[in-house]
Amino acid sequence: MNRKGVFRIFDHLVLVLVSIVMIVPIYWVLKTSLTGENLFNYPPSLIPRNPNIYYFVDVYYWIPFLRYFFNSIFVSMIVVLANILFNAMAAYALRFKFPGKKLLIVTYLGLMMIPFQATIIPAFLLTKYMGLLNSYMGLAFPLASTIINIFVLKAAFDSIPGSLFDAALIDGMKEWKILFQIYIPLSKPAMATNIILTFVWSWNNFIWPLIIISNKDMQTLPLGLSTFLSYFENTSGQMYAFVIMVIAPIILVFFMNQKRFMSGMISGAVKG
Amino acid sequence: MAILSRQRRRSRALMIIILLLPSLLVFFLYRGVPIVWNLVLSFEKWNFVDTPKFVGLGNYAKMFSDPIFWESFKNTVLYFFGGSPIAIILALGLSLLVNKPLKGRNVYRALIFLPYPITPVAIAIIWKWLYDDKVGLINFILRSLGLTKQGIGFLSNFSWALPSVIFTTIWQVLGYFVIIMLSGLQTIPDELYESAGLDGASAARRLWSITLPLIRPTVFLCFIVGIINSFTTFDVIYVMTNGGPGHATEILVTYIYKNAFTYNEIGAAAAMTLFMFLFLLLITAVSNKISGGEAGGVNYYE
Amino acid sequence: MKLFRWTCALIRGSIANSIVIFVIVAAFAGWMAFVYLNNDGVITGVVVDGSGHPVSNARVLVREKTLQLIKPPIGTDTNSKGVYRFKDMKIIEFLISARKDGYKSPEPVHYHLYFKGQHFKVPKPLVLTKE
Repeated sequence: MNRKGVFRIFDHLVLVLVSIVMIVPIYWVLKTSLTGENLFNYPPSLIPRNPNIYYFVDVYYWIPFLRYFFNSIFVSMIVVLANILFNAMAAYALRFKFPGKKLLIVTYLGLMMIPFQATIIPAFLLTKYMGLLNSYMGLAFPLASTIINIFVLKAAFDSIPGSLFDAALIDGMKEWKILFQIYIPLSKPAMATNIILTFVWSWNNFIWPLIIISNKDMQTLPLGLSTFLSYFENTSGQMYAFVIMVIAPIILVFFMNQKRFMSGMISGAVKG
Repeated sequence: MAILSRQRRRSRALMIIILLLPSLLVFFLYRGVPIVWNLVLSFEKWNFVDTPKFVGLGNYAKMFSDPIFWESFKNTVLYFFGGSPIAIILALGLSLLVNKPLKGRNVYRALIFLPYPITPVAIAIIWKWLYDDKVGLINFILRSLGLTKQGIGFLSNFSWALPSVIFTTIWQVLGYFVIIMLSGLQTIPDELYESAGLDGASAARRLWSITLPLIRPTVFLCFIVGIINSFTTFDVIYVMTNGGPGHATEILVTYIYKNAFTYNEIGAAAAMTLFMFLFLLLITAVSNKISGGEAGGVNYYE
Repeated sequence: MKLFRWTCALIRGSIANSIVIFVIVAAFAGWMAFVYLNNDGVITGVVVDGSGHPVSNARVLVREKTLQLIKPPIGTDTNSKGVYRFKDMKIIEFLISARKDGYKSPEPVHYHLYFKGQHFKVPKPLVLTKE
């Protein structure tokens, strides 16, 4: 074997090792959620022995799982829909020339510098005074529009030729209709990025529900998970079944369109 | 664009205002207002219930003489310096590997990235259990290899707790850094390597004098993402250790949360929030300056 | 109509995704249908003696097992063929045992169901041995 081949094997070796480190924790949780076997058996088996779904069934009945699931889904739906609409509207507005546009963009960039964690106390008070504690609106409101996504969409809108806009105008189309009939349909990848990012943020959000939700029925899945941990510290199978139930939607969405997912996550970090 | 009639112009202005209004309302209420309000709150002593009392700079004086505040600040900085450089170096190496035309590199990319989008609370629970001194997988492996007789309580041991939390964060964020690096590597034109290959430059030499200088902005971007992550991570630490043992893993956000919602010391929490925000702004500005302003807008939600 | 065409376009755009979603929805619907058809809460089984003959008039006790505690038992008697039948049992995990004067009671057997009110036929007969 030549030198190049040796290097190639070495590359694969390193990558396989890293992949194992990445995958084993998740696999171990999945295995334990199916067997409840928690290293009390010595030596622990690598393949699930006598797998069953009883732990999932238990979680379903021990906590109001469907309620939490609905809460999470419903809030995420509000957030995603609001983001699609509001961000597209704002990005479309930035397409026009108007006085103060530059100032507006600078303001956006400035506001983007403020991390959410630096606003929790006033945000809590504000939500309280608006009477939105323990409500879906309160959960969704701070995430209802995201500046990064506005910039991602703006970049997509900027790449649509202005002549298309003019032609539609001459055809007698209303300007606001052009947004929905031309701009949004023509920027599907940016819209996908928008949907993916806001879904993940909303689904994984923890600190915000932790602060504004005190009603048990309004908990979202991550909050329910952390409460579950504080009640059932020692139960093994059920805890990890619950973990799987919370992360399954994200993993499913990830594997269904991982290319788009990864590029979406990057555009969340790099200015669009 | 043709010159618009007056009526047309007015209706367009109205449309623009309507288009901008909803998102601006969200940003105004949940970004703009809180920063000002925080400043006001930081001059008051308040516990959510009584009437607020003006105390001037009292909260700041208390904050700077609070040893736990300094410890959490130190931990936050350690959290960053312990985690980010390692994550960046690992990510750089891995991205160079998965940038090669290897078989199955897309599978490797996907697997390395997989932990990133997973719910942080779930990650915390998984790793809390892996770190367990009795039933944890890591201690089992250590025992099987004969490295340790008794299990190490990674999260209950004062000197292990912070590194363990940092490791978990690296594990989650590594794939994200790899993908950012990859997108940086892909902007390097192939011709550069080809001409270097013709000149007979060795692989190490090409890495040192072509790749590294050209992905410097990307590295800085990861650096800034790392800084922001370490100043805003809450979920993982709250669930794994809640700042313990003692305050060994307390970082600013968890301490602010405790001050505000456990001890009901709103003024103190607001002062710390402002301090954290200004410090974050300062280092972001400095790193931007060093990198030549190329590491731009960053995601602040994660 | 427009919505329909739009949906068709979306489905054509990502066939693999649609298949996955369809399978999940179908599995969920199938499960719901199965639960709906089988949630009469009936638990049945037989009690036999050591030689395999059915035992009539034996008392069968079901104790629901919940997270913290084991609830007081619910009882029913077997008929002449040794068959017992509980109705409307909205339980998920239970211990089942039988007793009759003159016989030695078996160890309670533990069963776990898949949903509350599952129609369940206890697979193994409860064995009462003569004292």
